[in-house]
Amino acid sequence: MHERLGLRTRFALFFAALALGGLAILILGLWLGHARAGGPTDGFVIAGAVAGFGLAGLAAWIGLLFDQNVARPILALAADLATRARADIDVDIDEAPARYLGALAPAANAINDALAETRAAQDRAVAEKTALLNRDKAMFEALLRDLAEGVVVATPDHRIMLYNRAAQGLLGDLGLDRRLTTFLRPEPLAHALDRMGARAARGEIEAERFLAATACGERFLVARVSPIAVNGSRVGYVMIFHDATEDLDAHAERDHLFNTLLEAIRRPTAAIGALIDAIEADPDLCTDRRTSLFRQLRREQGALVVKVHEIAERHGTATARRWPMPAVASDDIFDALQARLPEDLRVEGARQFIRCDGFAITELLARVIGGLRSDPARCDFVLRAGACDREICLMLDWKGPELPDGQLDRWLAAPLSKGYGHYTGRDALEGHGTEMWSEATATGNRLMLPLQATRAPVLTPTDPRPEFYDFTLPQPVSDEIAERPLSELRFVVFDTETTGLSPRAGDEIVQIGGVPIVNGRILRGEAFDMLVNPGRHIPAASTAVHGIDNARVAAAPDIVEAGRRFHAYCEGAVLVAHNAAFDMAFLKLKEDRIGLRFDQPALCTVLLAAALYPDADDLTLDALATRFGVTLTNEHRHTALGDALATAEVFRHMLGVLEGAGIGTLGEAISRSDRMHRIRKAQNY
Amino acid sequence: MGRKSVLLAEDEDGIALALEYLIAREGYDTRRVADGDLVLKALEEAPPDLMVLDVMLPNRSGYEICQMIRRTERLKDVKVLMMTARGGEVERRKGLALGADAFLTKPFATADLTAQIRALLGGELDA
Repeated sequence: MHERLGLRTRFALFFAALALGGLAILILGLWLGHARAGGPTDGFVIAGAVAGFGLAGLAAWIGLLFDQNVARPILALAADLATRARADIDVDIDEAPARYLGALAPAANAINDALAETRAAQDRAVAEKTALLNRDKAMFEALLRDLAEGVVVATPDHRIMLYNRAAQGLLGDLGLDRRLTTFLRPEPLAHALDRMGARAARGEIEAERFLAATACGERFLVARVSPIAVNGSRVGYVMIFHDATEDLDAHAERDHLFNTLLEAIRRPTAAIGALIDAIEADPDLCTDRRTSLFRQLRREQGALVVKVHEIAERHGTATARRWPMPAVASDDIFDALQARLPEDLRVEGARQFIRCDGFAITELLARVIGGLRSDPARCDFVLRAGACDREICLMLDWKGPELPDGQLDRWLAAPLSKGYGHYTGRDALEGHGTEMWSEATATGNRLMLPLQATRAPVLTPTDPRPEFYDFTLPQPVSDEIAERPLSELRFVVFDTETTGLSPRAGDEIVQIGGVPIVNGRILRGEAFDMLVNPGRHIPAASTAVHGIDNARVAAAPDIVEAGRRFHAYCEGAVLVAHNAAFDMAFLKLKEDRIGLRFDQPALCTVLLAAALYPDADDLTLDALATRFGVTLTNEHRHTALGDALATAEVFRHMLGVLEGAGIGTLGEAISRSDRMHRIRKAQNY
Repeated sequence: MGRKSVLLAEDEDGIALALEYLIAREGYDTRRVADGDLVLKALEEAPPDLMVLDVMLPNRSGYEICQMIRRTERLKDVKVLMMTARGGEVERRKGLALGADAFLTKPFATADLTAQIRALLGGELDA
């Protein structure tokens, strides 16, 4: 504004000065002429007046033209350029008003075009880079999510920065920024990290292997840790692990079986040898002696028979239990066969699931079908999968000549596939612990291949955990927690549903819901949601609020169990609730029964809002949501988790406002809350 | 009607020696062959009333021989008692599916074998 007035005023002043100067010179000239030449004054005055008005008018006219055609276009051009510098506007500058400014307007347009071009190129580059990053990210996420091994990335102080689904399956309810040592026995991990450190110091970059046990000691994990260094400084470690419990068990079982077998055979074999020696040693043995030696021989051999069968059976169950093959749908095998051998091959019957090496079984059947077809008298091939005994039989029916077992044997003796090296069809059958044969049916012949049945693989529920990594966890701080900025804390925002409003008059919790906030992100995937059996009747009035009735909590854990689980869930976090005093009262009253103290720092969104907006008279969750522009979906409100999520949304927005209001640390937030608490108490009484 | 005949197909000399003797002692006309091809020849010459058939034979497996017996009209009355040292359940099922009348897993008590033979042949004796 100043500038525009400035330029135009300056032009106006310039022409005014020109007019005034002209007038002054004119008056001076006339005065000089009159003084020297003399004569009547009137002529000079008239001449002066005409010339003066003419001069002033000319100056005003040219001044206006200048304003119209120079000052204003310059200002307009300047404004256009300034706007284009700040915002991306893809329209040329209008050159018409600036036509008297010579090449200035076209030059400005040239700059504008160049700017637009640069911007477009930059946008393209950014878009390309972003697409590339997104692709990398999607690949990385898919890879980690479906990796069969557990992966955890943690900070040097064991806070989890990343975990995958397998890790969650093995270690339980992992969460970002929670301590890995909560889920894993800390000593072996610490020891492995020490060795890893020493190794890294020696310049070896190999991973350190160790055997870890879960916190409850139920499972053993074979794990590898390796350091993560950025620019030479250690920022954390990655731990990759798999469950070794069953491996160890199976190994132990096999060792045990083998040792038992050896001992079971050695003893009677030695005895039988000795007995035969004794019988042979003296051909003239008396009958009694002979009979007793033979009886003993028979007894030893009988014991050997019993042992061998017993061990064979145990070995059978041991190998049946441990079957390291995936569940495969019979359809998948049949589809592959039909694709390879399309003529005269039908599939009938329902889909079954079997444990097998799908590729090997497909190759095996393809080999057999190919072989059978070499005799054109065979036709009408039908594939089917059906239950037989405890197994699923893959069946191939055909009309025409039967298949001699010797022929089948010869097909099976050949290597299965180039990809499998010398592995033959027979090897594949043995690998699956099965056999293959053909038998006659009413209409033709049928090839039978029994395989281990399995249930349909449980489709992993669409895991809602979109937030399974965060590499920007705040640096570990050794300061007192109260001194730490709010933005660096891990919060658990929670809510409870209860049988009523009076914890001290026997009302109990019926549901606990909670959700963590880490690094300003609400981790919906790590939510805590649990029904609690209150051990008492739930009044209908309360059921009307939260929809939880006696039947729904009948099988739920009691407050002792639920409280322990929730306590573990909140470990190291700051608790946040809307009207926290109410929910905390319920928890605190149960501390003795639970055997744990809920002494985490707690923040109340009501008190914090009161501190931020002293004049607000409505501090309900909905009012706060409106204030922060948060849309709360009504769907899950008045469930513990639904309200906890709503509170979390409000609290997340509040965090930014708190910082702006000078409440930056946890200590400040607590002291301001306490002050609000006292004021409100005073107001209430 | 003469003595019932038993054909013993077993390539392992130790057990064959004992079994041949024991089966013969039961009163059956007993022959022993040690090779799959020779089994076929023996069946060709004179079909026995019962075969004691080991699964693992040189040249031709017991399964193949059993299957062949079952599809040959002339041999359809031959009883087949299969035995193997491979002790899986699935081998037993394959044997029975291919037409064996009984299946024994080694080691077994010879008394069990002779009892099985008696049961398989005795039924026919009564008929």
